[in-house]
Amino acid sequence: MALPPEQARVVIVGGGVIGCSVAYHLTQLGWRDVVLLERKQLTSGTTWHAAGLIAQLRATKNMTRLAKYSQELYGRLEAETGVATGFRRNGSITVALSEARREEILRQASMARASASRSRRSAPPSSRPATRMSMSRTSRRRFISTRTAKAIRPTSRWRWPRARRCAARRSSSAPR
Amino acid sequence: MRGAKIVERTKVTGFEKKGRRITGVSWTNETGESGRIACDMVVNCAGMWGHEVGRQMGVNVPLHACEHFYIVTDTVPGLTQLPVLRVPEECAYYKEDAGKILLGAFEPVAKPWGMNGIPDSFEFDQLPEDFDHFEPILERAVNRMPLLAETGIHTFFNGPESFTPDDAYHLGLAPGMDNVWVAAGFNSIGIQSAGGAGSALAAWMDTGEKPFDLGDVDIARMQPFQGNRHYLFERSRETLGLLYADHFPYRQKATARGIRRSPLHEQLLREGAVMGELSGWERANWFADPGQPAEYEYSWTRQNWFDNAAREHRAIRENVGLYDMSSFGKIRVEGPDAEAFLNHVSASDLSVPVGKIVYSQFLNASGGIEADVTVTRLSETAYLVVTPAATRLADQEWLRRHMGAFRVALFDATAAEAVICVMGPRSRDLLRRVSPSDFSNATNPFGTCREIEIGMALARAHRVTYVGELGWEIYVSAEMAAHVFEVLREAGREMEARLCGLHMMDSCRIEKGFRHFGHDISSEDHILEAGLGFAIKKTGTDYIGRDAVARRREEGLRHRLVQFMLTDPEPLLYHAEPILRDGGSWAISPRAPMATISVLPWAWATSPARASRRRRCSTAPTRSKWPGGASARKPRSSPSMIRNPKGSKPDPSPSLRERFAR
Repeated sequence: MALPPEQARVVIVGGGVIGCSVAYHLTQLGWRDVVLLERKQLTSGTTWHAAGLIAQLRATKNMTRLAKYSQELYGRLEAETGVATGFRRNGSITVALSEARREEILRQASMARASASRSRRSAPPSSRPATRMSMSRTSRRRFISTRTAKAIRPTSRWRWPRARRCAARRSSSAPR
Repeated sequence: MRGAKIVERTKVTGFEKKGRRITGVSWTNETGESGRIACDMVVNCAGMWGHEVGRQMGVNVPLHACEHFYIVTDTVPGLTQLPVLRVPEECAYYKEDAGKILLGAFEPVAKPWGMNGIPDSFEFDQLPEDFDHFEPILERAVNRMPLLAETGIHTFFNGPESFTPDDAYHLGLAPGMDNVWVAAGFNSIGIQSAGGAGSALAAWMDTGEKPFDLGDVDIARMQPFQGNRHYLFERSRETLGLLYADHFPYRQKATARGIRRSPLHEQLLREGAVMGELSGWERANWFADPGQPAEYEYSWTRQNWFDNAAREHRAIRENVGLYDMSSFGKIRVEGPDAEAFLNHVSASDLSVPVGKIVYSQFLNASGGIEADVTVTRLSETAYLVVTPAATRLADQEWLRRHMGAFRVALFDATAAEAVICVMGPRSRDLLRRVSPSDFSNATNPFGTCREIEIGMALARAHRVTYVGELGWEIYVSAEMAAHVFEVLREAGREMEARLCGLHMMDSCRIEKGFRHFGHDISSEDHILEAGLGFAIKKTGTDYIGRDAVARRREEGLRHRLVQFMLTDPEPLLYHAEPILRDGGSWAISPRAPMATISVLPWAWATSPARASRRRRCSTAPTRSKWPGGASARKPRSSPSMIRNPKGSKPDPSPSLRERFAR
C-alpha cells in the first residue's frame, strides 16, 4: 500500500469530488507537494451516488459564474485526460405549477439572460450555449450518469466503484 | 500526477496544533501502518465527516447529513435522451438515465442521519429504504409521468448527503485558525459546485486573497453556535426541502429558531413584532397592528407587511421611531497600540478624540472592502468596532489575522450591550423627556457619543444614523435594556413614537444611499468605486490597501456604484436583479437589494470603455411614486457623508417629509 510522504505543502482531507477538485486546481497553479488522504476509496462517501445534475443558474452572479465554470471544466476533462466521463449536455425544463413559482422562474430567467449577455461580451465562444437560456428551458448540465457512476479521479485512469454496483443489485430485488 | 499525491485507505487520526496553525497530520492505514505528515496547511474536504474533522482541528464546520432518496426504473423501451425535468412543487426531479428514468426527491421534511457520528466503515454504502417516506413523492410522480406506473422500480436508493444551516456550502479560511481551509457541505449540489469551488479555493489559497466576492459561501459567515449538533439536526430537516421550496423574498426558516434573543425580545413580541432570523438572532422585521396576524404572508408582490413598514418608514421620516439593533456585532479593541493597530487596518483616520465615531472600511490589498463598520473611540486605549450581526466573526478574524506585533486585545462584546435606536426628527424631544443629559448639537454633534442618564439607568448615546435622520443609538448594558426600553416606550406614547422593524431600516437606508455590506458592497468592490472615498484618511499613514487606493486614483475608476429609481413603482426588485441597458448591449451587474418601499435598487455599472467613467450615473433623474404621494429624486452616486447628520449638515436629498407635504 502506498504511503503518504513525511512532508507536504498542503494536506487535503477527503477524496470526494471537492477534495479532488481542490487538488487538481492547486496543481494547475503550479503547487507541488499536494497530498490528498482518503480514508477508504475516492468518492465512496457522497460523490459516488450523486445524481450529477449540473445546473448553471444560481442565485447570484458569482455563484452562477462558479457553477458555469464547473460544467466547462467537466466538458473538457475528457479531452484533457483521454478518459470518458459520461458527461452530456441535455438541458433541462423546470415546470411551474403555480403563479408564485412562475414568477420565481421568470426572475431566474432574467438572471440567465443577463449572464448570457455578459458572457457574450466577455467570454470566449465556448460559453455560447448560455446565451440560449430562456425562461422555461434553461441550459443545464449533467455529469456522471448515476447508472455508470465513476469515481472522479484526477489520475490517468478511472475506476468503477465495485461496491456501488453490488449495492444497486442488492436493492433491485424487491422494491415494494 | 503533476505534484498531487493521492493516498487511499489512509485515515486521518489527528492534528498537531501550534497556536493558530496546524503543523502536522497523523494518519493510519488499513494495513496498520501509521505516520505523520508535516504540512504548511490543511484543507477539510471531508464532506459529511467535515464537522467531525473540523472538531478535531478546533474548527467549526456546521453541517449535518440527511437521507436523500431516488429511484431508478427498469429499462423503458424506446426512451431516448431527454432533458432533465424539475417539478419543484412536487419536490421531484426526473432524469433519463441510460434508457431508464431516475426520479429524485427534495421533500419538505427531510430525515437527518448520522446524529451519533458517521460510521467509520461507510464506503459506497446506502441507507435502508423508506418507502413510506418516498411514497407521497412517487404518487405525484406517477400522475406527472404515467409511464412510471407501468415500469418496475429497478433501484430504490437512499444515500446520505450533507446540509448546512443556510443551504450554502462552506468555503475558505476557517475562523480561529490561520492555515486551515474548508470546502464542505454541498447541499446536494456537490458535483455542480465542485469545479468552481475548487478553482476559487485554490486561487484563494495561492494568493491569500479571495479571487472575488465569496460572501455567499465564505465559512466565516457561520456563527460559533451553529456548530451545535442539536441545532444542526433540527435545521437540516428543513434545508434539504428548501432546495425546491418557493424562494419567496424574506422567507424565514421555520426550524431551529429563537436561539439568540435580544434582551427586548419578549417586550417586542408583546407589541406585535414579527421576527426574522439572521445569524441566529431573532430580530423584529416589522410590527403587526392590533388585530392583524403577526406573521408573514409570502408572495412575490407586495407582502402583507408592506403597509406596516410604510407607516414605520413614515414615522422615522416625520416623527420618531424606536427599533432594536442589539444584534449589532460589537468588537472591543483595547491596548496601548489600539490606535496604531486600527489605523493600520482601517482606511480611515482613527487618531480622533475620545467619544468620536468614525465610519470606516477595512480594505484588502486590492482596495476591496472587507468590512464596513463604525469605530468609536471609548478611551485613549479602547475602541468599539460595530458591525452588522452577520459579519461580527469575519471582521474579528480579519482584525485578529492582521494583529501582528501590535499590543492589543480583541474580544466580542456583542452580548454585553443592547442597542435601542431612537430615530426621527423628534428623537431629541423624546430623549429629553427621559434623560437630563445634553443632546444639543453643541455638546453632542453628529459622530460623537456620550455617557447619559436615561430613566434610572446609565447608557451611551451614539449620535449616528443608518436611516438618514436625526437620531441616536442608545448602547445600554444588557441587564438595564428592558428598563430603558420601557421608559422610552412610555414617554414615546404621548408623541406617538412608533416601534419599527428592520424592513423599515432597509427602505430608509436605501432611500438615503447608504451601502449595506454583503448586498451593495463586498470584498471585490474597490472603496473608491463604491463611492466611499470620503471615508479614507487624508493623513499619510500607511494602511492595508493604501497602494491600491492610490493606484486607482491615478488610473481612474472602472466601475461605479449607482442607484436607479424606477418610474413605475409597481415592480419589486429584491436582490441580484439584472438591469439591461438597450436590450442587453450593456449589462449592469445586479447587486440590488430591494428598496422595500422606495423602490431604489442599487447596481454596479460596468462599461467596457474607460471613457465612460465620466458617465457617472447612467441614470437620468427619474420619477418614483410613493404610496403617499409622488416626487422626483435625484440619485446620488456618492453621498457626501454617509450616516448624514440631520441638524449638523444639510441633507442633499429631499426627505420623505417633503414628499408627504405635497
